[in-house]
Amino acid sequence: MRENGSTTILVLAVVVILTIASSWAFLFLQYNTKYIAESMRDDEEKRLLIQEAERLVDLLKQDETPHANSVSEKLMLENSEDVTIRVKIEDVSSRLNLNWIIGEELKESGFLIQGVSYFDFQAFRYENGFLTDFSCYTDFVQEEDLARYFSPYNYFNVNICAELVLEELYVNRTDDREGAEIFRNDIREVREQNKPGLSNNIEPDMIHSFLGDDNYMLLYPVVNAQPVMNVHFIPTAILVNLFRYFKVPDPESKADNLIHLREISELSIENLTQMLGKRQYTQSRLHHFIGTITWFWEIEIIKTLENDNFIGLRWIIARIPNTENSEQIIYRLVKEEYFK
Amino acid sequence: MNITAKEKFSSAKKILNNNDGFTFVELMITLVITSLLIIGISQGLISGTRIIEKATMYTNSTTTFLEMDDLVREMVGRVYVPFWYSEIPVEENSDYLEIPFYEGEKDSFLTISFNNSYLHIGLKDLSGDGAGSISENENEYQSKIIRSFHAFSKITIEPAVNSEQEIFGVSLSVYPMDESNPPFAIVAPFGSNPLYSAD
Repeated sequence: MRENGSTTILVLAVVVILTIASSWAFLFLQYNTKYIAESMRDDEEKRLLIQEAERLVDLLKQDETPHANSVSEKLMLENSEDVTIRVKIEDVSSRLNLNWIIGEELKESGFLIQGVSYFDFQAFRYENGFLTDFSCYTDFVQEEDLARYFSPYNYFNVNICAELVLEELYVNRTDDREGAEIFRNDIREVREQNKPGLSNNIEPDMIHSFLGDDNYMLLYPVVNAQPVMNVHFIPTAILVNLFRYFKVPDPESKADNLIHLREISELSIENLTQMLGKRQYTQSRLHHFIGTITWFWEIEIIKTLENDNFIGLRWIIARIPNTENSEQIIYRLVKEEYFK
Repeated sequence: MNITAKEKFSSAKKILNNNDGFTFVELMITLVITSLLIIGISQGLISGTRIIEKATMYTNSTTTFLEMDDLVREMVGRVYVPFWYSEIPVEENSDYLEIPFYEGEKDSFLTISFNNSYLHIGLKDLSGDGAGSISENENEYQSKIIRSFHAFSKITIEPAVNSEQEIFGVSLSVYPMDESNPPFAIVAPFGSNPLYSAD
């Protein structure tokens, strides 16, 4: 009778196979359950971030002074009771915009690199279209100036945009080249009526009648007549350059005054008219550059997690300019981004 | 009566040295006990394997779904349509969707397609030197699949729209192969949306 250990080897092989299979199943289950748990945790964290962002948007909507957004309002919103949550709110529309600025005005602002022609800038813009990232404009504007003084997030004010830009925007939104040319001609006609020191502006209450019902439906709110930047958040260099361009007397000290005042109080259009002068502010196009409302806010919420990790949400929200029938403050989400 | 250790040892020795076979009854009892043990163990093994198989399948399908959900949301979330557009020019049929503005680039497309029980998530953009330029020539575009998921009996892919019929993302209805499992839906919003007319 055979008495060697063949049976033991067979048993060992079975045990090894079973061990491998059960280990694989265990690891697989462990990976899957870990993934499911992480995914659920991430979802919960994202839900909390969205909840916080929505709370801030609600606070912005409940503004008791809807015609101005001040520095103190921003600071108040950045206060969070939850120590694990850090909130940052930034006005991203109070900058110049390379998508619409008139070439000559870019030159006059001092931001166009010395020796570069503004015609080349306009040709480059026409070739590349409207952009959300201005990093390809470094041949025309210094890189650090691009980050500090320019933003793609503000509206196309019909009074201060380049004519060709408005025509291209019309094509972009309607695919109607013929209609775009007519629209451009209408704008040119209005601008041809400008007199030295007295601009023929299309004011917010005239925008509907100027555009007509059809164009209003097609272009509003992206094309409107609201002042694009908020005086409370405009960088000093832009403020001084605009004052110089629109011949505000003593531009540096006026800018200093405004910067001091905006830190301690909420400025109104009346304040600006008083400080800058009716002729220089309301009768020129300056009041289409500088106003008191922020149109695009960036809300950044960072939640600290265990082990120094964090999860963040970045929203860009746009305030919709009021229509004739409504005074209600409406914000719409235009960009959402999560980061870790 | 006390049994001494010596007596115990001698009795055990007797049993060990006993050359008699088992009786028929002893053998039957042994067989029955062994059979019961084998049946018990094998039943345990079979049901254990089934449980592991079910748990693995369940967690696997849940993980597949979650991975798919995560990836679709992440990729669709990287579609940044500039706010000045009036609509999003998506190309679609029931099992294919092509969306421009992936990473904000007009000529970079996110593609989602369903083919032969597979869901493919991919990218299509201008190749080589043509990148960044505007071209109507389809041949200049290069497509690549980022990831595929399987196996599904049917998936419908369509733009997600809000109550005003404005597109804000992508909606998938996924039907698992096993028809006893209910279909599930994924609604993934774009990272950036146009400012539609505010009426």
